[in-house]
Amino acid sequence: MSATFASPALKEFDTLNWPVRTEENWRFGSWKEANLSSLKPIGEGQPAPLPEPLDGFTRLVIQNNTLVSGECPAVSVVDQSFGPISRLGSPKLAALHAAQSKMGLDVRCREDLSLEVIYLISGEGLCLPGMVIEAENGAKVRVVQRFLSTDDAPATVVTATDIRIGAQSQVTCLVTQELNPQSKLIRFADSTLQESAKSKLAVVHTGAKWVREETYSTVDGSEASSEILSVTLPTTGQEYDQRTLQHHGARNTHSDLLFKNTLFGKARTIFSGLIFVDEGAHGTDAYQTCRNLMMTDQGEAHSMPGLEINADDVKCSHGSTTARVSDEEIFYLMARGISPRNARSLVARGFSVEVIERLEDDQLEALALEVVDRKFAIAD
Amino acid sequence: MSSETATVQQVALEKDDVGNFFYPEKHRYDAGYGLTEKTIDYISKVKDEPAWVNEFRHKALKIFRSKPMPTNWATKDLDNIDFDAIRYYLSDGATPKRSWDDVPPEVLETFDRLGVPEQERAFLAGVEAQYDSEAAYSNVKEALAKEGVIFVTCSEGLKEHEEIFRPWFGKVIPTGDNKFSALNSAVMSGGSFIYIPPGVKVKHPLQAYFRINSENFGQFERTLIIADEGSEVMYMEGCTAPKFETATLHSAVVELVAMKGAKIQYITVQNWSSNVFNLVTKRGLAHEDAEIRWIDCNIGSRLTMKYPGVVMKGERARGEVISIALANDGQHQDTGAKMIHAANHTTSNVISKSISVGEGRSTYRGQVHIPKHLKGCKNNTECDALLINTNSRTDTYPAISVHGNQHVTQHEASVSQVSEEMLFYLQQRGLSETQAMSLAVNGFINDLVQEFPMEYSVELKRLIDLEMEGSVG
Repeated sequence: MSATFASPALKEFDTLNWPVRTEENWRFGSWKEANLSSLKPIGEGQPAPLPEPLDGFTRLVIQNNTLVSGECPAVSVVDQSFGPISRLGSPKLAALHAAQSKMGLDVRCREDLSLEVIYLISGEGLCLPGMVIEAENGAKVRVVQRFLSTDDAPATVVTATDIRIGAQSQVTCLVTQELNPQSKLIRFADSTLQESAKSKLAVVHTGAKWVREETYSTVDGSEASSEILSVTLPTTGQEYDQRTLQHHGARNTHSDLLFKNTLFGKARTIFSGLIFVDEGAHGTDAYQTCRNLMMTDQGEAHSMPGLEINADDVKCSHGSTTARVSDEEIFYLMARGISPRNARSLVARGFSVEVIERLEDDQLEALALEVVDRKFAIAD
Repeated sequence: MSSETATVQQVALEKDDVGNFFYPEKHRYDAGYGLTEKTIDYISKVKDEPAWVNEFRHKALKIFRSKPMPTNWATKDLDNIDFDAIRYYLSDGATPKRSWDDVPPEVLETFDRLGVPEQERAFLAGVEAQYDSEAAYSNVKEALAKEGVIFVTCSEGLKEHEEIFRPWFGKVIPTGDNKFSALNSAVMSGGSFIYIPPGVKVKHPLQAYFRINSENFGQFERTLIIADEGSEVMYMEGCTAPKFETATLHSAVVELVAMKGAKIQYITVQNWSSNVFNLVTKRGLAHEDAEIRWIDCNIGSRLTMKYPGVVMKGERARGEVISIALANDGQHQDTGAKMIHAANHTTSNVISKSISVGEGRSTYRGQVHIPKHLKGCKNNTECDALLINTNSRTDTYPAISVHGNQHVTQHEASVSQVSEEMLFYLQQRGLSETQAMSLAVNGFINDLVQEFPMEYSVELKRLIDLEMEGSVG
């Protein structure tokens, strides 16, 4: 397998350019951050204490590029990338992953699976883990990916996940990212859904200095349903740049995207989303909502919700709002003896919880909430 | 022949008839094909312009040449414009007539057929009628002129009212704003200059009518409207062109300046024939407590790219864009709005409704910008799209940037179609499918149509009925 992607990708990597300001997919984005030309591959990872395991999940631990503990019959480790395709502005970075990644997980499920993968990132340099998840035969798959820093070194993680969901199968995936504030994360998240397949793909970002995330969901099978969720809590010095595309290629498909950003300090967020409906994809039912909660007067939120509809007989809508916690809400809570500061926190937490509840999985919800609360404790 | 088919044919004829006729060209001045420094000097000479205008044009030409086509975000159809196959200036002299009696017969007949003199008598406070590059007629009611209202062509404005004109000219939309504003600045001709003195409230609308009569022609009118403190004005523009085989270019620049407490309403009913590239830059500058409203309806043209904007520079200024677009076969209506909040407590509202018929494509592009260190800004954006046929297409690309936590913005967009149930219900009551569809479409935009003055809203409904002919079944 190793020759499949690496050598053509290397050629492609050489011919492509790093992102530039004028690209529409980098509008408002910090395109300079994406230039990784000066980076060297990351070294050996360091062991570190691990978080509490999740009940009933098989745990794999990866230090930088090496699987150090855990095993699972459905998972094989491959020594290179499966070749992500960037359709949302970063082909150079996707080619970089394809050309240089040394470690990927190949997850094939024909029956139910609960998998927890912990990425412990340490040291300076470029780390390129990847993962393919294939669910077939009506399998219900739950995957948790946790990105954690074990030191203060500025690491750059370029990661790709490709989720292929066969007919009648289901995948619920939660990614939590708590990297140190010097690190960067670039993440490609692709998913393809066949007939009556279901997906719930959620991310929680609280760490890293800069995150660029490109989520591309292809709903290719009729009656398939894709849910995309995100909660982020950036503060001063952090910028989260999320680009999404919900691609409907078959009749009677459904997708629903809900992104909520709570901005502290001088945080900066960019959301660009597109619902794309192919010709003939009648009966599409697609929604997209991005909401920004501004906790301070120095935050900066850019939203670009988009629609491209090439078929009639569809129901599509998007909405985007930006505001702070309303005075009425604060007043209501103050009237019940809660301090203004606590009232604000409560409302803000409720704002994030609304997304997390959509996971409809107690264990995953508890984990996401734990990550969110950790950030609230230090950000406010 | 059944009576229904006869009516349909009649209606189709009538629809084509609205603007589809032309007279043989009789131009005293013709700058020829293509655009060079010589074209510009020719235009300046015919118009007997001051040196600063000629310099301004030359600078603009350099900028136009240096700027790339915006095809990185806009449609590739722009590449089909052949700038060398266009004539940039055609006129019969640069001075408009003050009386219809002095207007050449074929020009008078043209505007008569379009109903312009009739409307002037009925309800307008002033009219300018532009025929190819120059206004053939321009007049404002005497009572208004006495109050100090200036309504002249742009060329007259820059020569005779330089002290008011020049400080604001090119300030709202700088030459280098985009490739087509630069093109307009290089070869501008025609358009209006309006000045409303402080406190004057013009009760009846002022109107401009733009007519293209010649083939392979580019119309580049330039309009500047200044409403001084506390004044109010409503300006309406209409346009038509005959259907030629070749592409025609219309690239206007419209600048509005509303001083403290002033109100400007700018109404457009765009009904260009389907060979016209309509690439227009429109922006208003609203000072303290001022209000600028763009009411925009796009039915015609091959490609329209138009994003009226308001820069809210003074506290409590208000901007609004109300937009209706209808894209039929072979048409792309790429419209939207730009709301730049530059002062505290400024509010803006955008409501856009588009209808795509047949293989038509309608696009909404919006920008809302609230920079740092402001408070109390509000924006509301709603865009709704209606798709009539299987091949119809619609896109929405808004961008909302908010800095700080003292603002409220909301954006909502939806796409839908006319439901089978609704059509069935109406057909049950004896309407034909086409009538039912027309009724549904008119219902979809009804609340926006009401924002237009009476005379226009009636016309608008009729135009939409005509467009809906033959779209179903």
